[in-house]
Amino acid sequence: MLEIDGVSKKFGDFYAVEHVHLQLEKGVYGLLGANGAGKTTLMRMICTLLNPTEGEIRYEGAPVLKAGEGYRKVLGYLPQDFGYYPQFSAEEYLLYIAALKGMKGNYAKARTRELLQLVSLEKAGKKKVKNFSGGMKRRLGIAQAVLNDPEILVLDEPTAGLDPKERIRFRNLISEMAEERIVLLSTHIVSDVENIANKILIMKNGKIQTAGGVERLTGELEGMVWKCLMTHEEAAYAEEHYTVCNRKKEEGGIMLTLISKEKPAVNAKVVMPSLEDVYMYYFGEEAEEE
Amino acid sequence: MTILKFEIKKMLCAKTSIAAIGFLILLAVGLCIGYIYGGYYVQEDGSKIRGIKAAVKMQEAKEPWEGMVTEEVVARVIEENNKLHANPSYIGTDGWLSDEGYSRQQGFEDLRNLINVTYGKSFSDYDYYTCDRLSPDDATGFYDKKEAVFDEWLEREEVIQTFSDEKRAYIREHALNVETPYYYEYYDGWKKVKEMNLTLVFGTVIVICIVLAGNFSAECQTKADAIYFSTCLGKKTGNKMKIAAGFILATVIYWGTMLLGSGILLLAYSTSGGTVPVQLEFYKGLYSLTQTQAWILILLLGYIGCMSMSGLTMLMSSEFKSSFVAIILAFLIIMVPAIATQSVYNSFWKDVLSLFPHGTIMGYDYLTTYVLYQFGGRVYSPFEILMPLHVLFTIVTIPITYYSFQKYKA
Repeated sequence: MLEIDGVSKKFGDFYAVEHVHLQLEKGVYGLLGANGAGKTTLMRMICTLLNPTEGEIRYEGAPVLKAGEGYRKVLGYLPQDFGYYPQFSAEEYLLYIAALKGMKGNYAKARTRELLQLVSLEKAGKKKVKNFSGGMKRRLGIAQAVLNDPEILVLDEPTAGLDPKERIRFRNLISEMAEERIVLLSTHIVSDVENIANKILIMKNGKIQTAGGVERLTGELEGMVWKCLMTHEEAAYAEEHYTVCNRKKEEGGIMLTLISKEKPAVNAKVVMPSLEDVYMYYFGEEAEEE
Repeated sequence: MTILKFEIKKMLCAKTSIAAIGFLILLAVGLCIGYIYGGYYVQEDGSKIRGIKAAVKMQEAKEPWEGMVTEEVVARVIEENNKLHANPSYIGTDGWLSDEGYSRQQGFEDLRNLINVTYGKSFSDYDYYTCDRLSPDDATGFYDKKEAVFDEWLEREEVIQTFSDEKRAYIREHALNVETPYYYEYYDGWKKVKEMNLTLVFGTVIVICIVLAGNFSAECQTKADAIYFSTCLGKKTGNKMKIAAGFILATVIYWGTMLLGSGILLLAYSTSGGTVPVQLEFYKGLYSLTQTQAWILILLLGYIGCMSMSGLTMLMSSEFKSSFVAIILAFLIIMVPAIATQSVYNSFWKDVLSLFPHGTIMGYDYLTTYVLYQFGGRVYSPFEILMPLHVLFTIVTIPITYYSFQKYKA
């Protein structure tokens, strides 16, 4: 079990992560939050790249900073900005990372071949990484993260910059790998976690706002998501006063999906909330800024 | 070993490294071509030829003078010289030796120069025509003259002001501690190789700094640092391998370049003359070494300086996380003291500035000048000071570089 016990990270006077308590067991965890919510900082602390200002992260009861190499041996990490060595081919890159992960000669070679196949890069193995498309680089990124068959897999915005087809492919890949390990996946794309995460952690302003399965999170908004047909003037008013999740022009006016504790219009009908509505509920303002 | 191999590849395959190494190969080959075609041989008709053919001809011309430079040989040189200068057919319209005459003189030109220096009016006097005024009888006591010249010079007021008693005693002891008579044979190859090393070592050190500047900083600049540090061995073994890779690469580039440059020149000029004493070339020099020993000593000093600059460059790469900053700082650390040394006249500050890495590149200069260090009552040569100093400095940079990068948070 990975325990995040009262962890905070302060940069100057600013709390990037504030008193986060989490207990992660095997399964996929989706860390959902707007940009700047503190997801990357939390993940970097989990990966021992940053030291917490307060609190402690433990794996199987042992503080990860003290465990050092022993902990990193069971860790796989794909950072948001996947840096690679332009002069290396995909195969060389994986062999290098395998060596850094303490994997020996023949096993490292076999695992490299296996993973290149798994991420459908076997034909591009000898190609220089600098010539790869964004999708190919992300796939190579996931391959390096799982090279050592990690018990903890941390993926920071793994689908950023991918087209929908690549995203679906990537999701399925993670789903395949998710058994028998802790996968922590950060994203601000709701659909990425909706289908594969066992538990979703909503992070805002450095704090975990809420956590739970899709049903539990959407359940929180039950009776608060409305759909109503409005005139242009009414729609403009609603957009100013409510969190609008969707806006669609239809015959006779504009169909709005919005979040409100009270009925926003006479003709408004309650609809089933989706995870996207939950996201908008928590990050409506940030989403608009983005 | 796998990590080491990839760390070397990372540095070696960077675009800046490829360009820098390409430049270094061009520099080495260019210098060799310059040195090969810079030398010439004057044919009997007075026309000059250059290149390898000239080197071969020159070796043939000098071959008859091969052997111990005894007083008899000195007398023979003076006699031959006088014969040439007395022959009207070898004297030009301006009254000086013509090119046809010089073609007959070039075979014993090295020995003629030795005679010019030995019979100069004073220590600092050099007159190219001194030999022309001598008779074979003057060859008597040839090797005793050096002692008298040195004693006169060492008692001069300006010398006393410049050098302490200990340093003057050191100069006297080492300059006169020479095995005589000198052995002579054609040694142009070694002469050129030593001269060329000054430029070549300088170029090589700069190129090595460029190659190594990205060793640590490239991890951060390519944003590969997060993965690197999250791996099991990245923080410890990875860092060690990076440092080892830097030194291995610097060693290979340094010796590769030196052997390439020296190899080409020695192939063109021949390896003959390796046992000729350097004091035959630098009459007033302090080092009782053969040409080969002097060449090795210059290269060893250069190599130690190269290691020291490698350590420093890697430290800066690790500390500043920028290849550009590391290259600029490395360049300044070499160039600023080198330029300052030229403009500082205070001997104390000159000595202090010479301790910087550029001092290790100046091995050739130390053979010809009196750069000495004094600690307490003992006097040391630059080789004795710079070698251990820069070995120590290199060793000190290793843990600093290692911990500086280890504590870095991606």
